[in-house]
Amino acid sequence: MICTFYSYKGGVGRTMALANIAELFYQSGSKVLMIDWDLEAPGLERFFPSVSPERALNRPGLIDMLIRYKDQMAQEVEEDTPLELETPESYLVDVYPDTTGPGKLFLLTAGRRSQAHFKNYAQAVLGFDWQDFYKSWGGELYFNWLRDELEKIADIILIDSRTGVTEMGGVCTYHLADTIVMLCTPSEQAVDGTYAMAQNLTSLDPRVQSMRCNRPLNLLIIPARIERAEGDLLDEFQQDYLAKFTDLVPQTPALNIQTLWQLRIPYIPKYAYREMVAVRETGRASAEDMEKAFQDIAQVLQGLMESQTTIGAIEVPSGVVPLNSPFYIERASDAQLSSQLARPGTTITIRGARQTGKTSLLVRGAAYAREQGARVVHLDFQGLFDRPAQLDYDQFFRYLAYAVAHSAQVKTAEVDAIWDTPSGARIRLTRVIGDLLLAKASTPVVLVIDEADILLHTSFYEEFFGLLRVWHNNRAFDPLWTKLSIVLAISTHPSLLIEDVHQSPFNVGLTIYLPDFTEAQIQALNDKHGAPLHSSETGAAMDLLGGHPYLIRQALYTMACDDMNWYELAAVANKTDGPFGQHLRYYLELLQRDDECVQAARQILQTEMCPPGEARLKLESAGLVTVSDDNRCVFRYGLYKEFFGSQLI
Amino acid sequence: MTNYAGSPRRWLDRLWHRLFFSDRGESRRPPPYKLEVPEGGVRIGSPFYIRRKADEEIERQLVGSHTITAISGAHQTGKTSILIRAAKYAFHQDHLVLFIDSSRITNEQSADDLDEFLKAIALDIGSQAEVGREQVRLAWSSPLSSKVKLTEFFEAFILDLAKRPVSLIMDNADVVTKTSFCTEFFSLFRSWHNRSAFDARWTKLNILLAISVHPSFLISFSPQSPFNVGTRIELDDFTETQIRELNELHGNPLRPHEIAAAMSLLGGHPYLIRQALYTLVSQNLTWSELDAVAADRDGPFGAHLDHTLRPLEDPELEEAVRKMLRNRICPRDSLFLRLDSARLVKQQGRRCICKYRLYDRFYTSQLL
Repeated sequence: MICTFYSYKGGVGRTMALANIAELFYQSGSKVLMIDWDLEAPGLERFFPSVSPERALNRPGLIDMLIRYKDQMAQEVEEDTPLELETPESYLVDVYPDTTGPGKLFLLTAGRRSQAHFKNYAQAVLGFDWQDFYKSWGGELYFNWLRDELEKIADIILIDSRTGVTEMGGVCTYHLADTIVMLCTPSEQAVDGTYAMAQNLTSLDPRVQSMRCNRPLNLLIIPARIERAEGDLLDEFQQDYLAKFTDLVPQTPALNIQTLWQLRIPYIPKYAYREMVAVRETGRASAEDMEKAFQDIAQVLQGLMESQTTIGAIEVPSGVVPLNSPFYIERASDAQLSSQLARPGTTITIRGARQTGKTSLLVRGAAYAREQGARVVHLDFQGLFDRPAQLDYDQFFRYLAYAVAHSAQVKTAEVDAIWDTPSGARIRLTRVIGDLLLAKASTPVVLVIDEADILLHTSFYEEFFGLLRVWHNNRAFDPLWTKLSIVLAISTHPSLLIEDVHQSPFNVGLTIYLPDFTEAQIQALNDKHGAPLHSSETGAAMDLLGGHPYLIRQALYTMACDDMNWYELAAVANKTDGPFGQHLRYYLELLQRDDECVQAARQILQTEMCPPGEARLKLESAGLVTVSDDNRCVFRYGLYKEFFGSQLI
Repeated sequence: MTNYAGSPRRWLDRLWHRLFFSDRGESRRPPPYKLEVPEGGVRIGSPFYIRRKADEEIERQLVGSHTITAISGAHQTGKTSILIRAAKYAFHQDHLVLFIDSSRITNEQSADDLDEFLKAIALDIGSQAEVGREQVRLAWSSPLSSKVKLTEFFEAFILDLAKRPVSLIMDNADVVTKTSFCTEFFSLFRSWHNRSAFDARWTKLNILLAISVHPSFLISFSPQSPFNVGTRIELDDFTETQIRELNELHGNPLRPHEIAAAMSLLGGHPYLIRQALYTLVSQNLTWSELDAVAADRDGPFGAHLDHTLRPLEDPELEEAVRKMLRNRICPRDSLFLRLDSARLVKQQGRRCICKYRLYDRFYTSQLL
């Protein structure tokens, strides 16, 4: 993270704050790089006695690096000569070269300016044309490249910027910074200047945005140079500060204007005059307040840094949520499943519409059963059969038997032996489960079945579910079978795919329906994404997406990764090529295969009424519409209503 | 987060060319790089490769764990180019990279035989991971279904042996969509993806597929479709900035005011734009000369345009296009959706028009 320290007016203790915070990060084991970008009044090295003037001033620094780059670019070379830029590494001063801990503190000085070089330095700084550097020397690319190089060197980069409004200050604030720490002293002029600057930084020109590769920019406006005995003045400043800067607080969960006000940096003349790092002198009563302020600021920066890095760690919403993923949100259905699984010999069906988390819950049920000491046999039907529709009856059950054997580490030869006995395939499979699995197991066995929906258009659909019913009932006759629990996930949406909705559903045992997320659950998921959804927008999000688990997660993911706000997202939500396009198109294509469903959907859109019947039942069980007691019928989520309204009417 | 192509050095290199070999990159000049015929993938290291948003998204997917990603884009929008770069990227992340070109492993025999096809995949990835053919033969001798055989082979010889992440990258996956086992094949990938939740070994696997959207509307729609799980990345057209950049790389054959004209005819279609620039330079044409022959069957875009006729072999679709050309009314039915997913048409308000004006011209000359 690049963090630029800025103040509208000078003499506010900006450089001192930077030096102290850098020291704190270094002490906590981070790799820190400080850059002295205050080229007209440099001197960051003076805060670190371990850096002797010879070491600091005789060494080329920032301005020398920029000039060297221009020299390199101006050279006449053959067309194919690769361009080898000097990395910033060779310009760095290691502040504590002898350190053994994990932390590192580097300094990039303003430039070589020992007595012999001072004239050159002054000329270089005064003569450097920043506009021309961007216009003719690829400054934009260069600084983007430099940013990447710097981030390879250090975890956090702290830049000391020029005060006021300058071109050189513009580079390290507008272009490079991820966070700008703006120190604001209690004077009207400072508050107004800071306010104007902050307004400017929060409404960046699109060209500047694209130059920044659309990285977000955080502002931390911190009260500084607070003298203890200021009394009334302080109260007035507080009022002014709270009134002006409340809207500019970065949107992270733990931050509000009051916490920022608490960060205020007190003024202790001794440290300011002698340019000392206060946090190195721990234990001095006179510096306690100051130390505390710097520690608190460092902590806020650390928080911002973490919320920034989570972007990379945000899990892509794609199918099953892995076990121990922080992006899994427990719902009432989780507790329901585990309490049912704690009983011996149960049959549980998890039902839900598409993308509502059936497999993710199934996986957690399996993990829970394993923890309880049960043996889990996992059958994912979509990976088991080459072409289920083309299998013959015997083969189908034989493949199932092999899969059970493989999952339970039983040799296929034992399955073959049972298959050689004269009986029907269903009886043979039952024997494989009974003889090879249950009889040998000292623990309960849980059969976990996913995607059995693929059997819908095969002749085994009834046969297979009938067999499960047989096993379920076996428990009543044979204690051996009480060892077996069955958990299966079935989608509700296939009802759109089958002609006869009354085709016997599997209705033995307990059925768990997956509920939508509650508002609190949406909030929790939002925080895990770095809170892209502002708390005032939760209502709007729920109106559009309800608590549909996939839609909510996809929304948060898109906002966090593409740096969109809610209104930008809502504007493209119902587009077929928008973030929910895949989900919406699927339902649209499915719907359009059934004229009656299309008619019913149109009627619901226009009149919010729909007579009971097969079409309504199909739409309802697919999770597209909800029906209230008085036969009022509406699309389940605002998004569905908008989308189907635009497509079907 | 950066949006420059390849390494910053390359960018700077180009910039350097711009600075010293051109008078501020506006007037026409000899191209700074040797021209490359825009056929097939853009080779790695080619200065003519333009990074798009999709490059970044794919890299984000590949460093994640157990992701499954389908890149889709119409004919000649750069799927292979992006895939070989993804493979290179994964390789640099120290992944075991298994690259399958589906169009190469199918032959007469495996054309419609799932067992042969999966065995061919096992042999192909086996040889890339230095697993002997003998092991494949052994795995294939078991009585299990082919899908289970490949799964077990993959588990035992790829995942267990590789001590690092595995990136399985499959180009031309639409070959499969022409077979009768399409649904079955993609559901295998879905089951691998779900397996990761039960078996930690499978979290090492990332799957990346390139599918042309073109044939997908020809196959029967099914809940087990490859796009039903994982992330789908649609290849975007070039933006104006990207077209300007490409123009510059070709030595500015398009004058600034002609860029808008080119975009109005070709949109930002990656192949059409590149082919246009290439033709302008190699045949030393002006834009108006190119524009005059653009919709000709034997013109510079002829092969591409011929390809856009293929879906219209379906008389229903042909009639729909004819209707659209005459009335500009969006039918809003499954026919429109099919033409839309082939990226031949687009919706504009309540009207339905050809995706690019070039298609409009071509279809008008061919169908009306």
